[in-house]
Amino acid sequence: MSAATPDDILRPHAEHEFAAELAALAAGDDRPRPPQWRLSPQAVVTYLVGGTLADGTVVSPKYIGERRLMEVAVATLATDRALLLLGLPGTAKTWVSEHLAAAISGDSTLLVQGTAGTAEEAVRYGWNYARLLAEGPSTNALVPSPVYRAMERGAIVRIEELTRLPGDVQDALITVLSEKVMPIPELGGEVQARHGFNLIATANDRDRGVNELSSALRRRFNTVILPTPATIDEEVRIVSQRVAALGASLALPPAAAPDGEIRRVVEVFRELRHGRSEDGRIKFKIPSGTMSTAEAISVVVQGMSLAVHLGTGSVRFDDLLHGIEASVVRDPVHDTVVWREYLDSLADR
Amino acid sequence: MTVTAPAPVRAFPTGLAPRVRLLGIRHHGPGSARAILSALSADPPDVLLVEVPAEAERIVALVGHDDMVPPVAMLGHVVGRPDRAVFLPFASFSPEWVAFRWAIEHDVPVRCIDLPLRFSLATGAGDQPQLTDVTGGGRPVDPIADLAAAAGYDDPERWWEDVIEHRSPSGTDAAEVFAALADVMTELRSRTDPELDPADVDERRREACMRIGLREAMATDARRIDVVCGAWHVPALAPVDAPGRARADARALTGLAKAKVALTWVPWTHRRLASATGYGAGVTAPGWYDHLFTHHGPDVIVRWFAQAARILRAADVATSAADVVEATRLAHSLAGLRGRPLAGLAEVGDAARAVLGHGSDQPMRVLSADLVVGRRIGAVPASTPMVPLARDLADEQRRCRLRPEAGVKTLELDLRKPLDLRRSHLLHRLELLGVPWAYEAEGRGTVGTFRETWQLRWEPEVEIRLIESAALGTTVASASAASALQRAESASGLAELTGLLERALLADLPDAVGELVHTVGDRMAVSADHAHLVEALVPLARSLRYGDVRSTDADALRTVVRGIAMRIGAGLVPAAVDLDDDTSEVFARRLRETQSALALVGEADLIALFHRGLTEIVERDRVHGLVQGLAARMLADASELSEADIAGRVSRALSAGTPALEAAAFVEGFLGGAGTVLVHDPVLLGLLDDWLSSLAADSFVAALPLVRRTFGAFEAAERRTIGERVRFGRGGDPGHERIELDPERVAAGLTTMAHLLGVSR
Repeated sequence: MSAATPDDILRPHAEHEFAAELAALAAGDDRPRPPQWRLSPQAVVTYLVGGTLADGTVVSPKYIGERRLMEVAVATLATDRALLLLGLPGTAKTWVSEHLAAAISGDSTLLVQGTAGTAEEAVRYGWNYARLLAEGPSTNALVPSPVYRAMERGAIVRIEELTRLPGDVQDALITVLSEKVMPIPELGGEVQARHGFNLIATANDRDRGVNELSSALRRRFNTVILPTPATIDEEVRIVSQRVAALGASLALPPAAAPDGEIRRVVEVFRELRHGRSEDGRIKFKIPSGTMSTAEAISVVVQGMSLAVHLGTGSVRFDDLLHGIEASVVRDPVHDTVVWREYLDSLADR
Repeated sequence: MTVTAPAPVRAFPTGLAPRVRLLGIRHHGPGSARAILSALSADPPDVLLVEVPAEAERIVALVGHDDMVPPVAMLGHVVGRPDRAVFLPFASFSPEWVAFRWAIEHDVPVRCIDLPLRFSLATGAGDQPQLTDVTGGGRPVDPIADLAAAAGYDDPERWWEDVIEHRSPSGTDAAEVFAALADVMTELRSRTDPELDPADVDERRREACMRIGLREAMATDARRIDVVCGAWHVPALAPVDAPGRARADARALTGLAKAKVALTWVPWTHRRLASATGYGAGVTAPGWYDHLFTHHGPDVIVRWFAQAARILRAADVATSAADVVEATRLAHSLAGLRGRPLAGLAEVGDAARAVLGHGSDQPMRVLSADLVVGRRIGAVPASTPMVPLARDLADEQRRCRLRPEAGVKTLELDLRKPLDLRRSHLLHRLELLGVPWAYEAEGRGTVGTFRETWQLRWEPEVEIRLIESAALGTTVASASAASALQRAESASGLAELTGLLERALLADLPDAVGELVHTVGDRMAVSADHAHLVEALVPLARSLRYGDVRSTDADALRTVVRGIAMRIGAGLVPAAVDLDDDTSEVFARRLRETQSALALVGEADLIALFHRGLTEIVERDRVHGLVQGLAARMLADASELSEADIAGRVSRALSAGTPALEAAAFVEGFLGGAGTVLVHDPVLLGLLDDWLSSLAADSFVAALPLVRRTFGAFEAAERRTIGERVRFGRGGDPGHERIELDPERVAAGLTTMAHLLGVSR
């Protein structure tokens, strides 16, 4: 891990990308900080939802949505309870957890990615077998997991897709969360968490069936559900921001997706997601797909890429409709009817 | 004495003048109520002046009655015009209520000094009972919201809680709060002074009246006077004896129109207190306020969560003691993060969501009814004057010549007579209202007869229900309409809604009908279930055909019926696919219901759509034979299929490629209890005969029960004729050869027929 950030890194960590904002926040922060926190809880909330500081520094909003949710998240971490962020794909769960870790511990790299194949070593510790054979069990032969390191350092560790972790691996977290201790029976010792240690997990709402959280583990979390954006303007803002960012990394000109077209795509997604027209006058059936903001973003980016590389250079709403159809129609019987009815209403309006 | 400073303590220094305290409150604010209580007990007054209409003095004594349980509302109405009424609700935590209770317990006289209702109701516009003022007057702009915005709060309610309610004043602190509040209000009023606003004449009259009341009290020998009024009015009452004031105030009240008014108490509920519509008092969380008022202290939050845990456990939501602790910690931590002195409902809600609900709103939804809004229902003593609803019912009963009797009485109504129609409307309204006086023993039935039979029995519960329903409205008509709409809000299914709509039509409640039609329309748009749609269509079609619907509602109703019928037509084919024996029978019944409902509505395009669906069903694979047979029969009856088409379809259904059971089901559906078609159509009979004869032995045995059932449903005469036709061969017509007609006797019969049909012969 190097402190310097070479310019050619595709995606720098949050604490590097927004180092200036974090420094400004820390400089002007005179409120009490919980032990080991880089910022006071109030300043962390400001970092997330944006604002202008006393010294004139403008903090960009990382989360566009209800301030209330960020306050609950930060207050949770301040009470030493673990935080579980739930939400549909594309509701900025990972994004929020990364920025929380960056603002609180100044380090968002302590990360366990949950998959079906994640082993217990990833949340406890593993062994350097060469050393283990040569020297026998010792701290030198032990390979600490991100959770282990976070406990030692008093930092925030993140677990992505908690519900994808196999049940026994999830269970290994229970002692860590309730006793703040990780026993190491091989060495007859333990790691005790220092102040500032905490855990942020993210999970997908619709994934509940994969490896459902045991109630024992669930009870150790405060849960915040990140909703789909509340207003169309909010959602258009999110989509435009992300489309511009993604477009830049794919070398697509921002003009390829005019604001008007983005708004229309977002409108279609919202109307189908909520089952009613934006003006509230028409009701629709709701398709089985999630119709998330993330999908709206990918529809627009895909449309841009098609238009730039194979088309006229600027997306048209009619072309985007095909992309939207692919998001809508998941169940060929039900969703086709839904989509047809929706298109009819679109033609009528 | 010239008074410029607004603060009451400074306004009336000790001396010869009596000590007057102006205790500004926020209506329904528990913090205000506590402050009032501590101010009153710290320095008891000789007389207590309260900002409620002057006539209320007559019924204030009832507040001290043992059977009086808040929440209750003071109800004032114009005598003879129960629709012109006003409700003033009070909860246990309402400062006025606390002041009343204190005064009665301490034997201190109470004066009600607000503008008398005989003036305010005389000119009151509209038929809707009006909402009383919420935070100190019916101003166009909310002063509290301005204050809160100035302090950087987006929610005025929260600002008030932080700055005023959570101060927990006691003794001298309370006085400081009242003084500070008066300062703030003076500052606010200097910007939007109602005295300068010609539009706010009502407000000026009220304040003039309050000043007159205060001056009257000061003229007595009372040395210590306390005034409990909305904080907004404090600056207007401070300069009470400024020169020329008395004359100006008297002028403001001369020449006002008067009305004869009556006042009473009615039971209220927390739910109604919280409801944003109707005559709610604009309190969003009476249950929460009640808790704050009752359990004020350091453990108020943990107590709330402990209570919440108990309710959640009763609702089968696992909630441990550790959860209670964690939720309390999070609520406090959030309050700290947000810079609030004490966790409020917002923090408590957020904590409940994150800890108890694991992110979902479910626990708060469960708790909302019990703890946030509260289930509390008030009660009033038996000696309370009669509510207008009961009076209106008594009037109606007189007009309908229906006397309340304790024994069971059967009433036959002929709806063609105006009196009976009026009675029917009244009884249907009471039924919608849930007043258990009459039960409909026999309705108008499916074909809309003009007869209804009712069983009547008057029991004490009727009166209780009337008092309970008093909050819904002041006349039977308005209350039953409100009740219908309230039920529609919580209706679970489309059929329940259309049932309500039908009853509202029977009860002659045009306003409710209009609203219900819209609700049905909305609900219909999202209902995809074929069964529910058919269930909903039938009563609506009936209402449209036979109901007494005003022309405007008829159009709306027709639109809804059309919408439902369209959806049924469009969803017909998917709903018909892949049904088993039992469900296909149900579906066949629904097809018949739809057909007769559509016939009642009589719109060609709807019928055409229905027929298109049927045509597709007839041709579609994976549709049960019974359904296909019935569809074919319906199309044949409507002449949508030519005879040749029918023969071809039946032939296909009965050909060797179709399993015998399916073919038999088709026959059952097609013949559907009426064999006449076989008597008159030799081709069909031939096809059927060929099919039966061609069946292999085991197929025949399998199909036999179904065929037997089909033919068993025919009339005996039909069976006999069919049997004869089969025996004599399909080409021949045995009847021709055997029946000899006597022309004279036939002629006599034909003459009668011609007469009946109105054709000349």
